[in-house]
Amino acid sequence: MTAWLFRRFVVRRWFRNPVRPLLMLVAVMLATTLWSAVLRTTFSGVRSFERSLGISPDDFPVIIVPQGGRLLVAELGTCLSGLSSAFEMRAIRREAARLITSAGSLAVRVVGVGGYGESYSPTSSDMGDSTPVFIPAHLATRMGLAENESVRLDFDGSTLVGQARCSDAGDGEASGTFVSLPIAALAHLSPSGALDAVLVKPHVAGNPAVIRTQLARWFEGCYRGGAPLRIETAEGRVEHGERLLGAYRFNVLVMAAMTLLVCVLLVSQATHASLLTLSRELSILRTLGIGRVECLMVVVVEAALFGMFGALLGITVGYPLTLEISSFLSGTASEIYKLEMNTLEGGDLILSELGVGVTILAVAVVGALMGGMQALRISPHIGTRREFVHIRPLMGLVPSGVAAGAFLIFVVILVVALSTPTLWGSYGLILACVVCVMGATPVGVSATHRVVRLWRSSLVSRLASGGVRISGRAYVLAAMGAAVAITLMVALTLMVESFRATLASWADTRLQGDLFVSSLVEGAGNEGRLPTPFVRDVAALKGVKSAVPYYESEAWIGERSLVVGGTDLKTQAGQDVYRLIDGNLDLQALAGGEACVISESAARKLALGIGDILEIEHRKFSVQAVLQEFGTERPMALVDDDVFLSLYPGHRPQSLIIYLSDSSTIDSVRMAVEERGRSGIVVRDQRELKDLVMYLFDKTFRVTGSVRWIVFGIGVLGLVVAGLQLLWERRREVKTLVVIGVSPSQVIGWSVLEGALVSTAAFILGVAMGTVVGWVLTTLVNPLSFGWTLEFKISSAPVLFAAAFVVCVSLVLALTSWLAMRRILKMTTLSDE
Amino acid sequence: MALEVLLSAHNISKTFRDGIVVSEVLRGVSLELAAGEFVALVGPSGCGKSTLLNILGLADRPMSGTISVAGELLRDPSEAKLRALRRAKLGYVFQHFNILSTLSAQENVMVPLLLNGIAAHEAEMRADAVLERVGMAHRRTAMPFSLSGGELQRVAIARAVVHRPAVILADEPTGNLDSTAGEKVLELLGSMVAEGLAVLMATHSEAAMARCTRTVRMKDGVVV
Repeated sequence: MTAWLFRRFVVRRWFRNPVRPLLMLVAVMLATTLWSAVLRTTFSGVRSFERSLGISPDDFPVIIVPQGGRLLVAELGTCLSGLSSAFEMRAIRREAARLITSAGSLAVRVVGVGGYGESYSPTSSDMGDSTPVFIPAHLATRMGLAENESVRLDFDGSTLVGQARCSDAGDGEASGTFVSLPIAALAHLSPSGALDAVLVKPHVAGNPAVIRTQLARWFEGCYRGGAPLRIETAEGRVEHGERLLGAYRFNVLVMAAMTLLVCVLLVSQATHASLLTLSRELSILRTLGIGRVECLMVVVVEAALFGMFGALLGITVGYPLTLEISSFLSGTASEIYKLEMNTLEGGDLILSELGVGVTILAVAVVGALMGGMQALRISPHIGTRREFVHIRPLMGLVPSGVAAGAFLIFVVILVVALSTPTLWGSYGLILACVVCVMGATPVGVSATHRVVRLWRSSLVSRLASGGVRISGRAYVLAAMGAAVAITLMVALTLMVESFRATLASWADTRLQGDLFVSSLVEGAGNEGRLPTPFVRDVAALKGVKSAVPYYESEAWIGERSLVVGGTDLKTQAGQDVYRLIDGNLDLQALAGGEACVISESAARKLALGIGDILEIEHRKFSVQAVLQEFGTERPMALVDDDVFLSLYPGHRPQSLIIYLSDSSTIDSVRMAVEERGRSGIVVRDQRELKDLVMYLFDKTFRVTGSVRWIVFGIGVLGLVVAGLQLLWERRREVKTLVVIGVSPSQVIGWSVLEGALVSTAAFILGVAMGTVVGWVLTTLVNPLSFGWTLEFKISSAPVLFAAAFVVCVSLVLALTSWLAMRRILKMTTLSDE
Repeated sequence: MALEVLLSAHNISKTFRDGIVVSEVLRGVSLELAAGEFVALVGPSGCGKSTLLNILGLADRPMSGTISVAGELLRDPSEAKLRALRRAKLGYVFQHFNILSTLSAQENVMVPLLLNGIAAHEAEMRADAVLERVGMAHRRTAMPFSLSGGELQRVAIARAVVHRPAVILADEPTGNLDSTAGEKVLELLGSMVAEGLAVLMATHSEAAMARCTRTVRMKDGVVV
């Protein structure tokens, strides 16, 4: 019976009025596209992390990583050769993209290997038949190589002739698709090459912590590559990576969940509107004897069909969009961790698409159940007694108690979250805000009809007022979606704007100086170092009043890393570059190495206050002041440059701040500095550096821009679908109005005004609650999550953005209503049901 | 003294095309309606009554023939012209009431007045007066879903006459009502005729026909 009903009453209507099903399909497709892209991106992120962390702690318990820059192959060769006499170990090179090449027709990535008790020197010339080339067995088979057979590999500009070692045994890395070479062979092929990390597996029994200490001492003693080394455990690295991955997953899923929530509301609204269209017929059928559940099934089956087809279309359309959205997401993620986006494996693709399909189907069915529950209440008498379906007025449907209850919950959570600020409390507060918006929307929509009634002499305003009053229920779900969407838009905009304004203000204070010099090698934590003679030369240049070097290293406070910065605090403090949140600068104590200044992030994350003792490299410092610092989200301690060099002797500066004398010009000094630095440095003036800071900020928050536009589109679509659906539902009334003299433009005005009223209600609620959520994100979540206190700024941007939403709804509704009107006017008879 | 002709149609034809099938619904229909006339338009279903009413009501255009409303001959009128005539000179009563569900009874009646540029306050007063006359004053703030069929039709009649049109076109106004409610509606229409309006009413009801001053019979698209 359900199938029969469906074919007769639903499918036929699709062809009679294709606008509604098309819009519903587009909505589902859009949701699928987003969800699919988000899921694929998440999977890619997961795989990328797994790849970068795919090291078994059992295989390589110790990892040597540079604290800036990369590990130089030539230097490492010496260290590893010496080390191998004391420890049996291996070293492998990762991410050797520059050495990906071909040997014959086979793509080969070179992975350096050191150890195995053999001694290799980077200066040796044993690049002949005796050089072992570790080849996984399956690769050797493909290459047609036998054990100990001579192998010739052609690299970029170099040729290696070696001896095949075709075995996977004992070498986890070699079991992949990469050829492994001794570190010395690698040094020979690419002396200027660099490694991201060295994974070490000592083949000696003993306490791992002791071995780690011994290894650290060994490398500190012999490695002269410039960047200091950090020795960490594989477990720690995996844990750190998983923590980042967890945060990444959480953020991505929260965004997707918000999108899905709006989509559920959208589908629900479309289903509800569909039910209104079908109510009279279903009521007649109820008279004839069909059951309530069959009525419900008709709308649920329709939603399920849209869910399936929408999912298929969305997955297809979503695929090319995935890379776009991934690039948005990775814009944020790349500042934390470099992600490769083409890392999906076959199984992942099936799993993600299956996940997308099931999720969207569930969204469609849940939305249909939410919107279609009224089908259970369709009485047999409605359709037979009346020409139109009785739609209960909004205020009678949603008691204001619902809104009051939601508001009460919000206030309680607000009080709790403010009295004991925690991250989860803040998230709870945001959730309460969303619930509050949803609870208040019906009341808000209902209230708008009273406002417009003040404009009494306009027929359009009376029609719109009555329309919202009587048919508001059909709008409510879409209005909820729009209100949530605007809340999200406003909150994100306010948070980003506040952050941007605070950062710009901080940059104006902090970035004093005329020229700024840094190494050309830049990247996530990989800034190069400036040679000490260069710094001396610059300081001696004519026109340079002073050159202030900035040093940076890393220390560990328990399990947390601490950025240790060193600079000439006296000069810098003289320029008022530090904004202190707490404490004072006692330059004498700082110069004496008794005290340090910490960032707000360090104060929060390491729970440090003024007067507390901070131990860096076995030396105790009293915390003298807490400063505002946006240079890094990691905890940071700042000491005087002489003190820094006593902690890290021989350390080279990371950057240089140049103050010019009054008589000199920036251009002439800049040219002189660039000449001395040759091609290895970057020189920026103050404006360029501030622009760079803001550019990096904008790049990082590009994803919030994309999220805003996505929810904008979905919100507009929801309200337009609702408006169009109601216009079609009222087609007989429209025709009646036209017959008695109402112009088509007045009818369109009616539809547009209704849409504008409902979207204005969503606008008011969304702006109000979005401001609260923006405040929570800015003043509660940011300090708790990143350790930054941001100044909350109310700006006109989110209001303008939300107002654009109302305008956009009105314009799209005007256009689509005009199209619908053309169809309605073609109807020939007023008794057309 | 001859009564003023308020509505006249001369040689009206109308065909509908459905694919390759062409139906000739009206074939050279001519009709005149004078002030104070209460004319019944009768005929079997599908004979073209509703189509003729739509054309006379300027809601549809004939394929050929001319129409005059209140002495004004319409030659290929613009849509705006037709709309202006519908607003000012014509009133409509439908079998299915066609009451605007989003407006109260009073607001439904106010619609033609607002369309004719009457100020809201005056429109409210005039609507109340007409509702009083049709016995619906006590329900003027009621929404349509709370009104019975007879009440809805009385609101529809109030809406049709509130702006004092020249002609009222009624398409089976008692078709959906019981006999008591139907009688009341016919009484109301009769009283409008007594005030000098002309009423053209399509009907199948013998009782309705009995109240009319003249009966026009149609069959297969022509007046017989």
